[in-house]
Order: sequence, then structure tokens, then C-alpha cells
Amino acid sequence: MIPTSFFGQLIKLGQLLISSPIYFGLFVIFVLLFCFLFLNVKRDNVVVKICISVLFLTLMIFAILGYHKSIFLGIDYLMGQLVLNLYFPSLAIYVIVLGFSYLVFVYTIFSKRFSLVIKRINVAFFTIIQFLFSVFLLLVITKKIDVSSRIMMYQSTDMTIVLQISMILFIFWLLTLLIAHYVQLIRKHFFHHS
Amino acid sequence: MVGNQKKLSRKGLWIIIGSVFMIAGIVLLSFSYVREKKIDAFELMNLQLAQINKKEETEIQTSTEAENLPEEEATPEPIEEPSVSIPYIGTLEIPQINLRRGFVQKDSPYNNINYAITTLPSSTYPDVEKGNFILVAHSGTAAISFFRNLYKLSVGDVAYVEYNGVRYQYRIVNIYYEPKTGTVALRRNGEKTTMTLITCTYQDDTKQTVYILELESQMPMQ
Repeated sequence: MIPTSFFGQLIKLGQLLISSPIYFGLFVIFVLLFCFLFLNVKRDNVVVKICISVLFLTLMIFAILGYHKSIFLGIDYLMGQLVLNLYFPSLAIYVIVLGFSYLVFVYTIFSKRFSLVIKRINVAFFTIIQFLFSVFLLLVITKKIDVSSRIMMYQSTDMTIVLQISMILFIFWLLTLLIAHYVQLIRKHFFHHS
Repeated sequence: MVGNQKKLSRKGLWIIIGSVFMIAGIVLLSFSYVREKKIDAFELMNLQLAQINKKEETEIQTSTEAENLPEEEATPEPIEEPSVSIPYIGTLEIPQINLRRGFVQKDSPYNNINYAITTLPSSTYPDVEKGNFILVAHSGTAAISFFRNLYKLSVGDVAYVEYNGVRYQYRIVNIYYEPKTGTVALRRNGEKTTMTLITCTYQDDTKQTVYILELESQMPMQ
């Protein structure tokens, strides 16, 4: 496979679109959709909302009816990869989790939007995940673990435990935040003064 | 002083109850599926780790032979205890049903139908000529039902076994049913090297299905 420039890839895409009526038809549908949305996106119009909802539902039903096997296989594969990355995250995934925890922590410290409960939850999970990251670094240094390959990382039981606990805590953190925000939403919209 | 209490509206109460039931339903429905995916993930890692450990053992053995120390026995470097939870010695692969699972030594504590595909005590290993390599596993819907899709196989389908650096190719020659009595009759050609797969019959609690496969070819793995 030879790398091509972005414009070269656009030309190849254009050739693909005109190579078959089905691709060209798909292209025309999306151009029409774009024009419709572009012209109507500002209008607070019930007709616009209904049209868009019906259109997306139709596309989804068409896709499911015509390609349900491939869609379900794709979803099954995606779930498999998600679970694999949950229990055996690669270095890239782990770095993304750490990055997310830093972002949330910084936002928590500087934002006035969060309630005290949510701030405390964020701080607690951030501290634990950073502690586990320190343990991870110590393990890499002391046991000379090669982190460039996923399979080499998991040759060590200690490393496996640290990473799995980090990921499970991260998921638990996300769920806790979701529930906390949901409870806030309920309190905001459905609690009224007696 | 009038209290300034907040009260949950009826609509809010229904939304909370509905959310709790929805989440509970999603968790119950997806629990088994996610557990199955978890087992697949652990299986994949176990297989990859087992391959790496085997490669390391082969390299150490090869380097020990090359050193040629006649006077004292070479002591190879100890391999760090791997994190493989199940020490596989080989794999069974059936592309038709997307099955790829490891199997362990017959005397391993993990040679148990609740951990892995099980090698029966009376079984030989694939490298025994005219032997019969017998594997059993659950079928059904549980996460440990490694042979859940075996019912989709038919005569002529191919299976592969990787063992001791050799890849064996088998083909199904016979499928038959036996009642579940604790024993099973194996009808095979004694002059051929075979593999037998046994599992509960699909949608029938009273029978077990026996798949007889004959060895077609074998080649060393790279």
C-alpha cells in the first residue's frame, strides 16, 4: 500500500462514487440532506424536526433490513474489542484513560458548575488512578517490562492486576458521574417546592 | 416559619422508577453476553501468552544446544512466572464456527469442563499415530459452553489442532448421537489417527453428539 496525498485520496473517492449507480445515488441523497439541513437548521420548525427524524429512522431501518447480519457481526466484534481493552488495555488506551482523568480533575478544580459531591467523587477517583499509574511506572522500571507490546505487558501478573484495577475503577468512575449527573437533572426538573 | 422543602413530582417519580427498571433490565440481559466476551478476551490473551512462553522455551533450548557444554549441564535462565491463568499446551481451531480454544495437559487441574475444553483421560495426544484425541466441552448458553456452536458443523468440515509446534488438519467423517448415560461408544476407524469431539446435543438434554474427525495432514508451525 503506497501512501497517497489527501487530494489524491479525494480523487480516488470521486472515482469510486461515479463507478456505480448505488454509490452515486447515496452521494446524491447525502447532498440533498446537507442542503436541507443547511437551509433549515436555524428554523425552529416542527416540520424540520419531523422530517429529520423520519429520514434518519428510514435510513436506520433500511440499513438494518438490508445489512443486519453485517451490522450485528460488527457490533459483536466491537463489543469483543471493548471488553478486551477493558481487561487488557493497550498502552494507548491506558494513556487515554489517564488523560481523561487529568482533564476531569483540572476541570473539577476550576469549575464552579459541579456540586460538592461530584467534585469529591472526581478527586477520589483521580487520586486512586494516579496512585495506580505510579505503581505502573515503578513496575515498568523495576521489572523492565516492555510496554510497546500489549502481550509483553501482560506477561507480568502484577502489571495485569494494576492495569485491570485501573480500568475497572475508571469505568466505575464514569458510571458514578453519570448517575450523579442524572440525579442532579432529576432534582432540577422534577423537584418542586411544596 | 414555612418550610422550604422540595418534593418530587409524580412524573419525576415515574421517570426514576422507569430508569431503575430499564438499567436493571439492560444489566440482566447483557450480563451473560458480556461474561462470554470476557472469557473470550481472557482466552485470547492466554493463547498469545502461551505461544510466547513456548517460543521462549524453544529459544532457550536451542541456545543451550548450540553452546555444547559436555562437562556440566547448561542451566537455562529461569523464565519469569507468566500471568497465564490457564497453561495451554495446544489449541483447537474450527474456522467454520469461529472457534479457537486452548486445551491443557490431561493431568492439569485446569483440565476441567468448567475451565477449558477438556481432554478425556483415555485420550491420546494428536502426535500419536492411530490414536484418538478426545475433547469434550459444554454446549448451551452458559459462558463456559465452548462447544455451543458445534451443532452447526456437518460432515466434511475442517478442524485444526496446534500441538507441540505442529498444526494438524482434521476433517469430520461422522456425526452421531448417543444417549447420556455417563459412557459413550466411539465408532472410529482404528487404522486412522482421529480426533473426537463430544458435547451435549443441541436442544436435547437426553443425548450427546459425537463428532469423529480423521487426520488429513500435518505440518510444522512457523
